[in-house]
Amino acid sequence: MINLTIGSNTYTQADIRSIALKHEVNPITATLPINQIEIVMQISQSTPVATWLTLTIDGRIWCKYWVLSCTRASANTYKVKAQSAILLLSRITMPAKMYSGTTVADAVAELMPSGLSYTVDATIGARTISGYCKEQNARDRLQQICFAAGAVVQSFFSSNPIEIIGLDTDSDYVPPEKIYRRPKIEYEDVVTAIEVTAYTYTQGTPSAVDEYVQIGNDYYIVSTQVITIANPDAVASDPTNVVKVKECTLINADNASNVATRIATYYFNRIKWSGKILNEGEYLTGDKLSVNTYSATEIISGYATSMKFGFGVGQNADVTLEQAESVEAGNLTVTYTYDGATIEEKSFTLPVGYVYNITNPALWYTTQASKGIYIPLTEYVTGTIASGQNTATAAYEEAIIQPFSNRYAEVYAIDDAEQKGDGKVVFK
Amino acid sequence: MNILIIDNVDYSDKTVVSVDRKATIKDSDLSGEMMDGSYHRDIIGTYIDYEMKIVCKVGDNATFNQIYEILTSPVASHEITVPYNSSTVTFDAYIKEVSDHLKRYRANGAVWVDLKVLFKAAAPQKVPV
Repeated sequence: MINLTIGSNTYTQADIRSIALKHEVNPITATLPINQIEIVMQISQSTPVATWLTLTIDGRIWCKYWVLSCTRASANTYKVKAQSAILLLSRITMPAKMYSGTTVADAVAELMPSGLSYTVDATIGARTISGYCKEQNARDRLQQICFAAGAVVQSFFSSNPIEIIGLDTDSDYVPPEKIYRRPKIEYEDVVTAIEVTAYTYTQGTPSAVDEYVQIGNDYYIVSTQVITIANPDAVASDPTNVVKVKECTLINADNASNVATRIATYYFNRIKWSGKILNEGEYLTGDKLSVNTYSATEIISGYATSMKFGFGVGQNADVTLEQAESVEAGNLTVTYTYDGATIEEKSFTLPVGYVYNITNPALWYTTQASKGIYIPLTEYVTGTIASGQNTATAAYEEAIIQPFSNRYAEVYAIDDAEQKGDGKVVFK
Repeated sequence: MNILIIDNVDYSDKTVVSVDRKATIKDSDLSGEMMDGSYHRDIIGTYIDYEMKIVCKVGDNATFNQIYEILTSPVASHEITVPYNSSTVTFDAYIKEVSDHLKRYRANGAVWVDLKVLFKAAAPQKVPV
């Protein structure tokens, strides 16, 4: 059930004709994405604007965005456009500042307008930043801070319009039955190396040849160091393609190694996966997700950098996974048996370490003498995928037999202790 | 027995109605084929539409004209009561087209026949539980 509040007004599913919602998270970009929702409504008067819009589905908040406009398109049709709170940050100018061992929590607190609720993950909040930031808007400043601290900004699925969290490290597997057919896999140009510039700022009086920055009456002499990481997978025949990161002035001697490694991971893993998945909010933008490819033995894992949601009775999402790389896959063969003999086998390619819980299906059979149905004695096979070949077995019993020699169906009760013949009922 | 009630006006005794019923189990755009070969359905619900041919009693042009004016009025939907299985059902239905045929035109008036209308359910009568 969809519910919508705009300011103090509440609306129900019956008032909503369509919803277009896209979430983006990008850990590398210089500018924080502003997420947006557009809702077409059949209502009798305009909604409030310059207030908060909260979209709730089945009691869970999907987004809390700031209403920019309400456009009347017919007598009873209105289109409401709202954007994430990052929009409000883009309207705030932050003066140039020199950070020196400032915690991320304190640096972020300076950017937030009063009354805007936000959270900072405790581990991220305790990290420190050092370096210079030029005069810029709070949106760009926040991204600089997050980039240096290894954090991302989320603006969805929370009553807090802004949440600052660490990069996801555990990959969630999206099984094939939740992925629509024909996803696209794009293999991008090889990046042969990355160069990251780290900055040191020393307060003093600059000479004529020194590069410096000035804050008020204070001068800081700038010195730089370039950290280069070559792509170990690049070969001599690859044309030189070096990505240079020079603009993040919060990269310093303390965090340069971590930042460079993160950037190298992004640019050296150049697989992009785009597809549509069933998603009722269990997979979030920014999550690390793994999916099967068209190869029967390959699984890739990458960060969900964007999700464009579709709303029906359930929800789905067009997803882009970036920074994707192959992860180790294991094969699982489930053998379905009856009376010690194999009835059928089914194979799966799953990520190593994945805890599977696969439903045992009812199985039909037909022989020259009869047709019938096997029912599993247990509902699932469960286990954890290891490297290489994995096996699991599920035992079955005959539940219904229809001999071709007569028109009677034999039906048997099935449970863990049941043997064929017990509880037999014959329908004539 | 004939059943036709439109917007709380009962025409059951003044008309003879031919009824065709069609149920559509409607999916949202989320339905589609998945990578494992299965077909995922996101069912909005079941819409039961009624196509009717309405015939008035001989000479009752007033009733015919009254029904025609109601069916062709530019409103979003009508509340109708029609046969359903062994009983009747009342629901909101919308109309997009109404057609009929001029049988003859004389000085004392015109005779229109073959009034056809499709009542499309404005909301699903059955929804997934």
